[in-house]
Amino acid sequence: MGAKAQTSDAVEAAMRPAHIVMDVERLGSLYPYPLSFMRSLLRRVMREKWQITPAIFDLCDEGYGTAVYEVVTPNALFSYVIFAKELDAAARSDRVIAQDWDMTVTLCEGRVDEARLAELKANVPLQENGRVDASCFVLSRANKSVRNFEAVVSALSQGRQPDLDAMARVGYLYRTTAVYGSGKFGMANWKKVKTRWADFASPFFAEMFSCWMIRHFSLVQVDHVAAKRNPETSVKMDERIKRYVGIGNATGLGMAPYLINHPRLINNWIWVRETALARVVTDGAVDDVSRGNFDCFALKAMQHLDEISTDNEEQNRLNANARADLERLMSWFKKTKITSWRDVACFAQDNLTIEAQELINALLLELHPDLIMDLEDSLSVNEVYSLEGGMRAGDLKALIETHYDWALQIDFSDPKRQDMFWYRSEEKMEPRLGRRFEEPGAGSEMLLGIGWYVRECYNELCAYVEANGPDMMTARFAFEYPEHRYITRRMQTMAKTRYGEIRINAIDAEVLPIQLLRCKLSFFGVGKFDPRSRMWVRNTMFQGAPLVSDIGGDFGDTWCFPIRPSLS
Amino acid sequence: MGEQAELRLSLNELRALLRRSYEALYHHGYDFAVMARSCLWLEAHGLDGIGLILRSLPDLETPCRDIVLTEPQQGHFHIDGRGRCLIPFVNASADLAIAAAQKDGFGQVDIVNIFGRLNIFATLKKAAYLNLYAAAIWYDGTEGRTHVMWLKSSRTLPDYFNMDKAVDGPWGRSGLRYVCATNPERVEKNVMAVLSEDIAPFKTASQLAAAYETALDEGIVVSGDAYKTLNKIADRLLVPSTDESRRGAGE
Repeated sequence: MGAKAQTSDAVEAAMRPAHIVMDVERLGSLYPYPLSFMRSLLRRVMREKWQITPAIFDLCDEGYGTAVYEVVTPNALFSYVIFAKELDAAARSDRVIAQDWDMTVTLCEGRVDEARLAELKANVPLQENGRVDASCFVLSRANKSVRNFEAVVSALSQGRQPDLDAMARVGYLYRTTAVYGSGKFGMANWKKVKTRWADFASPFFAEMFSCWMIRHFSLVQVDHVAAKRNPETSVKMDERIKRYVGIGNATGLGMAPYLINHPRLINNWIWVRETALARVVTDGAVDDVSRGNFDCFALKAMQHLDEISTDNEEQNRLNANARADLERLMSWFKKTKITSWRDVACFAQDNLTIEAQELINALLLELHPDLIMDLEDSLSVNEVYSLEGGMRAGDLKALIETHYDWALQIDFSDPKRQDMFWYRSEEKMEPRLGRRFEEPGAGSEMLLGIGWYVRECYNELCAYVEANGPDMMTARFAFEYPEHRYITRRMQTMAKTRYGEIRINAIDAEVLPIQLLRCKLSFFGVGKFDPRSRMWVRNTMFQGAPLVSDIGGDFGDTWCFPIRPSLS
Repeated sequence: MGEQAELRLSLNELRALLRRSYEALYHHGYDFAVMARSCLWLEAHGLDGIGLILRSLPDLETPCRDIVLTEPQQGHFHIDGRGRCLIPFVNASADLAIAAAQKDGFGQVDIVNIFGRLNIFATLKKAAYLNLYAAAIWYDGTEGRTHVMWLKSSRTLPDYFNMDKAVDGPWGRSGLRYVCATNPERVEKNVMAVLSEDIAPFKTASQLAAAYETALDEGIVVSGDAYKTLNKIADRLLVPSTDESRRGAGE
């Protein structure tokens, strides 16, 4: 289904079944892996030696002003435009509904001249309230971690390196609060990006690049402000610490509908990941080198988990259990002569928590990049959901019973199974969750409770088949019941995919949207999840990643599970 | 109040607006996503999909429909639209012919007593996607013009013919015929019964493709008034914000 890469029979046989993989608790336990978008992006940037240089750097002593970076790739020249301003503390909010930010940015094609810069300056800082043209393809903003930013500037200006304990706790100087692409606010459509700008033709490359550049600018900005504050004594931040500085991110409900509204794409991402895992456990050589690498990655992952700082008790419990489970696995691994990496995956599956299983799968995926890199080109898919009107109604009924059995098992007669509804708030259309039986707005519910729509369609279809017989065409059923046309074509399409839908009842009283968020963020390459409620999560991007100044140097692509640097 | 300034929207932006507009009109009573795509298809190919919606709004605002579907012969469908706009059921109508073509090689839908017929053209893309041949034919009694959109072999886009003459047919003055086949000859036979031999397309497939490429590159210009009207409809979906709804969703 859109995936170009080939798989052997043995690999096919090793792939995990949909009912395991698409369980939302498991998807909510995924860790980043080598084909996560930010990892793929930086491999390309480093391999192709993109040139990133400041064309305009007009900042005042406090670091406010304009910067434009020119980005030269093998195919084109792009500009990354940044507006940094002084922000009143009372206006600083990570919510989509905020109106002002410390930093606003855009990524656009070509060189930015004075007139174009003026146009961008009039619109980019307004974000959703501004308009840009179709040469732009990312619009984003970020807020300072004020305490961390000031502490770092203060230390550097006094000739000291930042406090690593504080950096380990927070891990970034700025948090992005929204990263828009794909045609929003007049920008270029994803199809244009994909067909016109080969450098960014992979999913979310442009958005990830923007986040990486925000991180870059934040590091430049602290050095700049520290130097201006005290030119005599200031020092620049040590590059090892710089690599440990990521970019913070706050992700809320807005991301969740994306996963439910793009089931074919998500199926494809999962298919790629599962294929990669199956290849490693099937074909990955077990030798001294790979055993040693596994040992190193496991030690790094344990330290990484130890260093995650969150107030969320459940996340702390998950991290602690995963760490303990990993230690248990390593103890078994050291005294066991495994013959294939499947032994490790099986041990995890039989003995450890889901969180630990997925952690270990992420480690396995680091071992044999040669076996999985060709899958990188299979992450995009043309998302068409066509009604198969010629299908017999009886066959459609059987299809639902086979592929949507998980949805039919939900007992919607229990009010708790439909207690929530998703809606768009009048505040910037922010997606929100409401209680169906207590709050107004259920009449404007978003179409996200897929299981419920499946059940409604199935009930009508059963009656239709009963009345008209099983040979009637689906096209006639869809004509007579237009309210079921969408879910019907969706089910017909997804039934042909390997993994199908995410198995979630998104309107359940106990739904955990952060599981969806973490799933998507893991594909982005994000780590250090810090859930703030069941509806939003803070996290850190690009921590441990190479710097812009590393382009052209050695690059090992081993920056997963970032850990505190040793400065001795 | 003067006219609002025009806006240049990306295809994605316009599609999202159209989806929300249709969703606001019908909630989930119709396939709002495919309705939006059909309108976007027209607009992106230079065929004024937005104008069609705006002209049809009085009808679209009245949700209850009493449309009659019959199948006098296997694979030949007849739909009486009872004077309503085609937009909400255009894709489901085309599905019938497409499904019949896939099943038996040929399918035909005659729709009478409808308006907003331009929307049928957008359904040809589905036939193309399924490697079928298709055509839509209708005579506009008000304009006195006959419209034909013909998806020929090996094409992903149709040629659009627009003739300054009346051609009578089962579609009457306010209907249309949609034919679909696995074999090009059956579609051609229907089309050539209407088209003069020497007529040149009003818009060729290449011109339609070029219009799409421009829309993809530069976006689509939408009048301020149209943008405002669509947003006003779409905004019916928005739910007032309360302290309760803000809680737990961020800081």
